Amino acid sequence: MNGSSKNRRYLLWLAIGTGVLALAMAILLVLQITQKRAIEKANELRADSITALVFQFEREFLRFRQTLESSVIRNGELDADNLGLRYDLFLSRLTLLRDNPTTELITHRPEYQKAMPHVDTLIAHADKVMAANPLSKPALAKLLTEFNDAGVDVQALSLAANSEVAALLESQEKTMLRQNNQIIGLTLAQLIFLLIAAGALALRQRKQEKERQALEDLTHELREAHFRAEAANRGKSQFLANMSHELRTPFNGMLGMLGLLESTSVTPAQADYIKTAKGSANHLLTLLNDILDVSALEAGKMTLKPEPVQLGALLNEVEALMRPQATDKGLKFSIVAQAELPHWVLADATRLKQILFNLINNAIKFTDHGSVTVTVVPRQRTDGNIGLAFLIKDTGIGMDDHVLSSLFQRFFQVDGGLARKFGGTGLGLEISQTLARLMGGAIEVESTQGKGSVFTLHLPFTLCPAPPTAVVAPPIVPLSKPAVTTDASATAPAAAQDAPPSADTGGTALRVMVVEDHPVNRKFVGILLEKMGCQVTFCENGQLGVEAAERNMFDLILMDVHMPVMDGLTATRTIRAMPGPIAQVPIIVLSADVMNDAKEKALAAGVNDFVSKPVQASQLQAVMQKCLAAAPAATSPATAQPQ
Amino acid sequence: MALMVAWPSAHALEPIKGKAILTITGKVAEKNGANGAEFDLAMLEKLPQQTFSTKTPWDKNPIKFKGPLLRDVLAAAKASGTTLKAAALNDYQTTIPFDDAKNFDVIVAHQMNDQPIPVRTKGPLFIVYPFDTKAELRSNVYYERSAWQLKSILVE
Repeated sequence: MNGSSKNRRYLLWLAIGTGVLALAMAILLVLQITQKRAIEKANELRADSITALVFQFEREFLRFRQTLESSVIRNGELDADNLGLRYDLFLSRLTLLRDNPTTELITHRPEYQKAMPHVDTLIAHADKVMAANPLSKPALAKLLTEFNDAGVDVQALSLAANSEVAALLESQEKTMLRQNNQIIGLTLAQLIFLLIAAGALALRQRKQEKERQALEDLTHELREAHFRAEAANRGKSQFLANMSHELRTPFNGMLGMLGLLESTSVTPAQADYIKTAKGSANHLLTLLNDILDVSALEAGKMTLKPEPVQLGALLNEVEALMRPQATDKGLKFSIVAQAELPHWVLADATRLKQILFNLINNAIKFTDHGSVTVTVVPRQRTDGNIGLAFLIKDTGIGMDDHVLSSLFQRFFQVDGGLARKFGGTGLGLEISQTLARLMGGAIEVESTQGKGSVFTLHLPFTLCPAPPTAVVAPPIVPLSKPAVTTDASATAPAAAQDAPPSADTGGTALRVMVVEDHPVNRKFVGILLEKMGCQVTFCENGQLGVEAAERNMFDLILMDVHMPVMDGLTATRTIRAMPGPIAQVPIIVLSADVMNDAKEKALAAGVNDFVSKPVQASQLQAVMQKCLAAAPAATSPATAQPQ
Repeated sequence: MALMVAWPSAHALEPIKGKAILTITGKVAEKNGANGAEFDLAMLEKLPQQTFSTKTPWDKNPIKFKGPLLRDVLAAAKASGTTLKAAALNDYQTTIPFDDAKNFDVIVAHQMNDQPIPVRTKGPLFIVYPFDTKAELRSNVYYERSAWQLKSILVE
């Protein structure tokens, strides 16, 4: 505001200044033109000056008078020709004097007004005398006296012309001098004005430069502040990630122990308490995972790992996991593909499942009656990929426009009351949306309040050939069926009964070393492995693990990453560098590090596979089976299966 | 000489019959008088005549002038030189470069507006440049060379 008014004032001054300068120049121009005219006029006066005219007139007057006088005085013949010629010349001069425009300069003078009538009378008489033939001497003598009388007036005329021209020249000189002074004054004024204007311009320039500098400083400060804020934000995210990570370790133990507790003989009431406690713990774990995901996304550490995936199998898995939840609430649940699904596609199965779980979970959470349906529809894409849309439709409470507009925002929760009822971090949809975008797709939503919502996940897929059968070979189907609980409860009595025989058949039992510094984790994994009938050796850090590996042969090693003395990855590298068959032993890393590069680093160190904490029995079992199947058969004929 | 070849001149000057109104003296090859070549009005009228109208600084209106070309008059006298000194009855004298006669159609006028020119105005003869044909002629240099009441020309 201030700046623009200043600018207006500057422009006004500029306009006024320009106007004044232009005016001064115009006046200068007029003065110069006037002077030029005056000079031209002076020139004309010089060429055809009244003084010359009057002088010539007087001269011819005098010459004729002289000729007349000598004719009168001299005796003898009159020279009529000469007298006539002089008279004619005198008359010619008189005519010139009368007709010339410059004569106007003196027509107002009393001398002229007196002389001209006198001359006219004289000429009237002279014409008569001169016309006579032959000329009469007495008449000429009389004419001479009249010419003598007129001499005074003619002389006065000359003097009048002289003084008039002198006065004129003087006045012209004065005018020119005055105009010259005006020109000098104006030029000086212009000079001063220009200097002032230049000074003002320089001042303004300096001021603007200062302002620009101030603005630059401000920008710099703002940028600094922005960087600081971003750094602080990153620090906060890092802290959150660290805390979540730290929280996961005790959780690992808690969930494991609860699982184990569940498998012991308890009263129905106790079983119910354990189930509730486990449910709460699982919920808490989900929240922690969400926070970790957001931190990873924010830190830009989230990358996708596409691998060959069978969409049909993936959807079956999702359905198997989601159906119990829906059934519990009395909802109909189905996953339908409207066209034949592509056989093998490249996709990050974990993340794809994560999105679907989130969307289906939400649908079930917000639906009390009716159904939740997942429909897979092919969608034409222009980029050559196969387009699929996963429509998750519910008959739940739906959303209004306000809720819809802020649905994908971080920490958004459907309002205080509902949030309390349904829970959640408010991060789920944001994570899903970000993951979908990372995959080149998007999530759209349509909803009618009170009638239900449709979340549509659009994704592009690339076809790929089926992976080598070896990887698929392990019997995933039987392993994926039993959940941790059922597996644990099924094996629990068996373990209890078969413990002694398994000790007897030590030769066939799988020799497993667990390298883990956390006692609770060590205990939990130990119990799991014992249930699988394995012969377990424990080491508290990498160094001890390496030493144990030097002494004994193992069929499998489970390795923690973060440990005192020597970490798991260094230990892995050391073992891999050892001579003998121990170097080929399958090593599975158990880590609470879920940031993407944790797995990368582990694989780079020579690890065979990666199981994230908290360890789930079924998952661990599956991974162990997979690694043993792929490992060279020489080490041991044993299987991971109990019995 | 080259000049004479360039201008086919009249035959030898006839003896003057009337009153001499123009005398050309100095470097003239043809002489019909004691001082040089003398012309009366009839002789001038016998030469090829030029007529043009032009504005002059001495009159408000354009004036029609008639008379022989100056170069024809000079040729008649077989004049050669670089400068012409024109003298008037009132003792006015002006210098005219000989080349003016070649370069411009300068005439020795004996008529103004179809009337003989009396001495009482600017007669009997008047050297007139065709002022209206060229801008350069409309300057004081040529106005001063335009001698009226012309009496004689001295060729140098």
